[in-house]
Amino acid sequence: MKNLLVLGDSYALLDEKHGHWASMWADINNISVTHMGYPGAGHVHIINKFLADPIFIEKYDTIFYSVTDFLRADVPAVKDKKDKIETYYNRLRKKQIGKSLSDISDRELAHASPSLLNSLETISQEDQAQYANLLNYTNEQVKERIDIQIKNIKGFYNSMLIQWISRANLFALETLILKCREKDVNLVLVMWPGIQMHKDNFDGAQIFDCTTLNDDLERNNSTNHLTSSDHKKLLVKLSTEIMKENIKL
Amino acid sequence: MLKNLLVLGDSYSKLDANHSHWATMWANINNINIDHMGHSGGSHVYIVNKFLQTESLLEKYDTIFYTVTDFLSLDLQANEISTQESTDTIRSFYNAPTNTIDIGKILEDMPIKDKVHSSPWILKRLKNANQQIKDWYSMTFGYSEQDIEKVIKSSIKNMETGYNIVLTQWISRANLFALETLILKCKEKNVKLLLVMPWQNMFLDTAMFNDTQIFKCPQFSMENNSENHYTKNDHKQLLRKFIKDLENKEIIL
Repeated sequence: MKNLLVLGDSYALLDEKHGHWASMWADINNISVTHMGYPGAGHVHIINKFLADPIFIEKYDTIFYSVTDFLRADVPAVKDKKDKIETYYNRLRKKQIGKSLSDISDRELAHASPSLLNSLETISQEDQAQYANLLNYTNEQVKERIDIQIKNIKGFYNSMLIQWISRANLFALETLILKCREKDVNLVLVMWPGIQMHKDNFDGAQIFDCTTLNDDLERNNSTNHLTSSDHKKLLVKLSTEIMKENIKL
Repeated sequence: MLKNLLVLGDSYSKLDANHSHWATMWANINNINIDHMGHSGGSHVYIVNKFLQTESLLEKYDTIFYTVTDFLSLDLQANEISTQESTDTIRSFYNAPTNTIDIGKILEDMPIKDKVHSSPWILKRLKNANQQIKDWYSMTFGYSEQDIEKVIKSSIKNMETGYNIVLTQWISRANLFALETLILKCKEKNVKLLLVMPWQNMFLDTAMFNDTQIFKCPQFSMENNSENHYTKNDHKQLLRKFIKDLENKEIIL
């Protein structure tokens, strides 16, 4: 193995201070590692981003993929959504479907999830200010954005069939599994607490099971939600799984 | 050598008792076994999931003609639900016993009356529904004559709300992932796949389909009583075009 990619949502981010178990493991083994983490995003969004540039699947020989919530989706985050149905069909002739999604700016879309909805509905003044700072918004702008997001996410889960959303996300993951197999890229799916799906969902892909990691992780400032101590525990767990040949790299 | 052919997709894949289907006409001429699996109004996510639920189907057929129509089709709730009901449904998804969730099966197991196969095209049809369209809707989805007015009204409401909220880019990418999964699975199992495109506005950039073969259909009027939207005469024209594409080696089977 030479080039490792850590792909997924925020769990795939490399935190400057706390590091990441995959980076620690790669450093020990002299492997080049890259992180592509999209906080809050669902499988459709993440895998589309990854596949949007065909060079990525050629570049990496191994991928650690963080399996996220299967109920995530993207909804509009602006008052008057720009993508009207009438213009959609004209655009289809001019622009590839994958590119249409990857080109939308972060300001125009919200990564919807039931947990985000809950967080937005109970957001503190402090977090609201932090959010404004992150997006470079004024307090008024961020308040308006939060209201729009709550309205759209609520409307989305009230009208969409969750069975359809989860299947759509699984199709994205299946595409990644099949493309990796086709290109002889080693893929390891990293499972987090709350993602305890039957392994038959994943078409024979290797699994690094972190679901037993304490779900009540203390609030911390790590962008990947884990402290350096958590990462060290996971590094030991990964090394043990490799030694036992439960994971073959 | 082609022996077992499957025509898979939405209503365009159905075999109509009176008007037949161009693929069946062609299969009959060439002594090929043929099956039709058409799911009227179904999205790619729904159709491909339905097909992959029975693993043996990918072994059974050596060739599949797959109809590619709307990438904005999706499944919505059939009934208006409250935020509390939506929260309960979500909670039951997360709280399912460990390692038991089979995502494909939970979609497959949803009764037709709990979901609405939606698309901008169906919405447009329902908004201008004459008796012929009402009959088509009740026959296709199994609604009774007494229920049809109420069902159409609630379907229109749900679709209008749904399409106002969804991001078309996300819905279409999700559907494309379903199709890509089918393409890759067929490639892996050495099953020949032909994408059939009946809609002029669905003539997408073919680079998206990973060198999969494509049969582009001419446009015909849809004002008829055929379950697959083509009359017998349309099917004959399609059969001629298909044979020509084969002779010209634009399609290789």
